[in-house]
Amino acid sequence: MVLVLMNKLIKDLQHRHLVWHGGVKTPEPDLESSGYFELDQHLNGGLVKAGAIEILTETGIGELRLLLPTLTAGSERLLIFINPPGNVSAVMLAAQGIDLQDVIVITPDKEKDALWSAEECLKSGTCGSVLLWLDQAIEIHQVKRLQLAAEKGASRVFMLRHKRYETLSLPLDLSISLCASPSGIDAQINKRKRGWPSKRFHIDMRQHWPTLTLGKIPDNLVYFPTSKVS
Amino acid sequence: MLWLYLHFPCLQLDSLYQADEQLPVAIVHGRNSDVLQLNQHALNAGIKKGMGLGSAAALCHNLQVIAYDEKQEKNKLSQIAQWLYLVTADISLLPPNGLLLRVSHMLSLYQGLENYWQVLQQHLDKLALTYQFSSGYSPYAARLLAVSGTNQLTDDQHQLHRLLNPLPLQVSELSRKVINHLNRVGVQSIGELLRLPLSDIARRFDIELVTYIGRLQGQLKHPVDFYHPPEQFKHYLELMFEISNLEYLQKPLLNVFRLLEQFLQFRDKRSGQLNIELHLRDADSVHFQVHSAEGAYRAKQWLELSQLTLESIKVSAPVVAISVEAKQIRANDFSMMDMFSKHCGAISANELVSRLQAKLGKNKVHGIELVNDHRPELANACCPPLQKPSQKKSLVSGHSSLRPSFILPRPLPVTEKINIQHGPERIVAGWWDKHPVIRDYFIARTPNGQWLWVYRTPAQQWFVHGLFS
Repeated sequence: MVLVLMNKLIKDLQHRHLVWHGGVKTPEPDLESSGYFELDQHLNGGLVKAGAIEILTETGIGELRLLLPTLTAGSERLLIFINPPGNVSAVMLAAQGIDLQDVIVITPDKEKDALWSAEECLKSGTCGSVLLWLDQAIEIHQVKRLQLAAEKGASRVFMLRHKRYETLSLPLDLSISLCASPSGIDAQINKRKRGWPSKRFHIDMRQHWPTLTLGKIPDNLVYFPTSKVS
Repeated sequence: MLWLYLHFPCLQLDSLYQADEQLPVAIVHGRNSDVLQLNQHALNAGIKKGMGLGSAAALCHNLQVIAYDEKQEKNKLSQIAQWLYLVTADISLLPPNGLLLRVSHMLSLYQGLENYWQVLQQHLDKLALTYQFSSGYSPYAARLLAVSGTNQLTDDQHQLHRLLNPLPLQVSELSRKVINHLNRVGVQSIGELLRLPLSDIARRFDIELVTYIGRLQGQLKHPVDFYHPPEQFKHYLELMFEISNLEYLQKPLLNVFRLLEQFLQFRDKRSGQLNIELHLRDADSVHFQVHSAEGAYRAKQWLELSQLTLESIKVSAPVVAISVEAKQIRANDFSMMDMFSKHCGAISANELVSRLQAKLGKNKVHGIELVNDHRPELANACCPPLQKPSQKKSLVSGHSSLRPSFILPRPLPVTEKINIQHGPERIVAGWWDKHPVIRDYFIARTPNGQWLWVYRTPAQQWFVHGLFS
């Protein structure tokens, strides 16, 4: 009798996705290299190809530079800027090899419309990446909607927000906070699906962006990707 | 020559949008308030055609009364002609409620009268109208037979004569005076009139009657103006009820869009813009446009787009009618879809853009393009989204120096301490137009680690102009 009840209870819980199966392995999602060695290492290979990614950062410390290799690697799909902090510079994007024809900038009046347009873009399947600058706290159901839309359209949304809006329990694929650092950027993984949060680590940008980092790289230094041999 | 006449006895009633079909409706003549058209529920209540409004209202307390509008019937008639033009060539409008079709020329195409009628009837039934029809060897004969409700389509001359003969003179187009005159000499029906020798009639009556008889028998030529369809879609739909909640507009709009879909589908075209007008009660009507960058023809697509626009529209008074006009009708060019690519989206990029623009407004969604100018605020320009770049690609290599990712729409004065890292880069331009610029640009870093693009004017004022995100 108890067994029957237990079975029923477990079935009920399974039905509501509240039971974690140790034996069942969900397939690893497609990862794509971020273009920065340190970040790839901490993310076990790179950023997810489809999903919702939160980036907590100040504006102008190099957050877009961190994402640029990922954005340019995208196929011929659209790149969407929603609510950018200024006029998106065509000169800079073109210099990075982005086809300007594939760039769309959306500047809605209301935050609600920004979320709506992000969702539409994501689920359309025509957009590779959507960059969404948000200036308010975001709720769980909104993130969930974005995530489902991203999965449907196999696209990625980067939500760039200020640190003061940080909330812990959002169903994100990845949440990174960024800090400025003289020779690049300091990152910390707050949350990651199929992985653990990390301590703060440094991403060196001196090779990619020599002008926008402090401290010259010595001429005689040779970088070798695998750091620990012994 | 064989003609076909279509008579629409209750055209205005049929063109009403009846949401709730349970109510009895009567169309009443404005001046002498006689009931002209009525629906089945009104008939069941005992109301008859030609009855006065008073007695009709007495028979049925919830009778919906609508004034007769001849102009509306004429519009509807030309819509029907436009629709029928797809299957038959020679159509003549006989307003307010008749259509005359020349059948003989179509018979070799359709191989027989029966086939022709079958196609025509199926086509006409899509409009859901009440009609009476008849064939005849002259326009007048066909009309007489149709108006009297013969509903026979035959090319047998004898049978047509047999049907025509017993009709009373009152249904003909002859004036009342002539009919009275004929009645007095004992001629009551068409058959009796046709039996009289034409020379005798010419002696006793005027030339009008002679021409009429000649045309009725097909002996005299009957000039007819044929209809030529306009290449545009314009539809006016009067609503049965006033609607103040715009959400309820969906259903009637969908009806119109379905007609639009058929219109476009038959021509293999798509439309890029719809002008929709909401006619309000006692207020100016509201106009709005729905765009589709790609061009659409499906009713569902248009409904979706118009819904997004409708969300942001407020009306001051209830809507009594809607009219829809299609613009930018162009040929159907199907975009290529890759069958094998993994992420086959439900919609294309153009469709996405039209959806976004419909909701947010046209100026909120744009693309960016390069302009050949050294001034940073002019080098980056907005353009319509998804626009193909014009031969400006070569210009990119000209910019070797680093540019910020975001240009501030308006330069801000520098308010905090900054460390200059690179510079200066002098930009002097624009003396030839009215926007001269003399600036020294520097790349600077704030103590917080933000990378800014700042400039100094000749007056030693410092401004932030961009962010290196």
